[in-house]
Amino acid sequence: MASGSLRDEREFVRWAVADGVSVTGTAVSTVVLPIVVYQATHSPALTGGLFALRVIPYMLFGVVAGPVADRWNRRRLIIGGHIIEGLLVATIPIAHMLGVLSVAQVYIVGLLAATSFVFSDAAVFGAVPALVGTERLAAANGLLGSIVSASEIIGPALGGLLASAFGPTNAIWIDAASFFVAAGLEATIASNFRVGEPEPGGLQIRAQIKRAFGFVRANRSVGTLLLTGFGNSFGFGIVIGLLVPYAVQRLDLPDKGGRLGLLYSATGVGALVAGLMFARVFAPRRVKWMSPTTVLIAALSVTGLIIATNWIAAGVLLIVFAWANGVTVTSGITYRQLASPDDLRSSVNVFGRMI
Amino acid sequence: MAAHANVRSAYIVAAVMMFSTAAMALVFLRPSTEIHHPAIEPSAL
Repeated sequence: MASGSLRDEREFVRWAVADGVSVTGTAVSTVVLPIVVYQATHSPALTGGLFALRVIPYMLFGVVAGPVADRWNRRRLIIGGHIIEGLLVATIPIAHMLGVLSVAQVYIVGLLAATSFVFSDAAVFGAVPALVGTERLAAANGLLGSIVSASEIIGPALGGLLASAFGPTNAIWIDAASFFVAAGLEATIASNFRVGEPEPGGLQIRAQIKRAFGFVRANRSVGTLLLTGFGNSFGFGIVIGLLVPYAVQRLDLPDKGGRLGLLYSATGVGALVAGLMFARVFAPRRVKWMSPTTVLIAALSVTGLIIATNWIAAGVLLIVFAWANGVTVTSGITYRQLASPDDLRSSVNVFGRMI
Repeated sequence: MAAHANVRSAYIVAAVMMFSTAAMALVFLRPSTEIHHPAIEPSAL
């Protein structure tokens, strides 16, 4: 794979735009779907359940999705997966137009779309290194991470605006369209998203799972980074999941309004900066120091949040916290992609996503 | 008051988990033996 700037590489630019478009669409739905469910049911439990739902397919199919993506056609999984998600999401505004939309349908769509995502996401872990080459993988992962962060900052705000301007169910058209645009852009990329030709042949799921476990056991740092990712995400989940009660109780902020929104934006900014600077700080050998240091910085930031009583100080700590989390996560993914052979990249990285 | 203590306790759990994770990573990470692609180009962006 030739080296050079990724910005000049049209295929990668199309990939990055597709990624940004589909993540923005998903972020719109992240705001809008709970509004649809809440307006229909007025049930906080049913509304919150929509998010919990997304975890189930990873638990059920994650261990199979990696091997499928490593041994089957990654291109079909990625492009086909986006088309399937787009069609599924489109059934919601269509059913609304016909007057037959139910909460059960929203749940079924959420479950099936999340299942489709497990397989396309697994394929992406192998596709990016194949598309850009190992020399530019850190730059690509950093850039893609910052695009996702930017989309996750813009998407919810866009979702809120669209929901109030056109109604929540009509805003969902944006999410459906984003998947079709992403699939269209990806279809123009002339790559099978694999290093070398063609697929290994034969799914052999059980044998592939065994190989992936064996690989993680044999490569101590890969296994350690999977555990590091788990510990890091566990702490991150607690802090972000309890951010509203934290802000209300510890910082005495009102439970709606600008300053609470700013705390969420702070996490977005930290993640964005992490992505933008990632390529300049990452090197495989540095992981020995980088990962413990960034997790330590995150731990110190949480300690600061426990002590803080001022919302500006908490905002600064959240920027640092999200930055450290972003570097830890992207380092883990990039290292595992570099250490694994092409036909194990999806399997090994899906383990990381599952835990 | 109890709710205040709950959020604080949860954040303490998060901090402890992350300190332990950092220590574990420091002890067990030995990346130099596994990677055969050392040529990462920071300028590739």
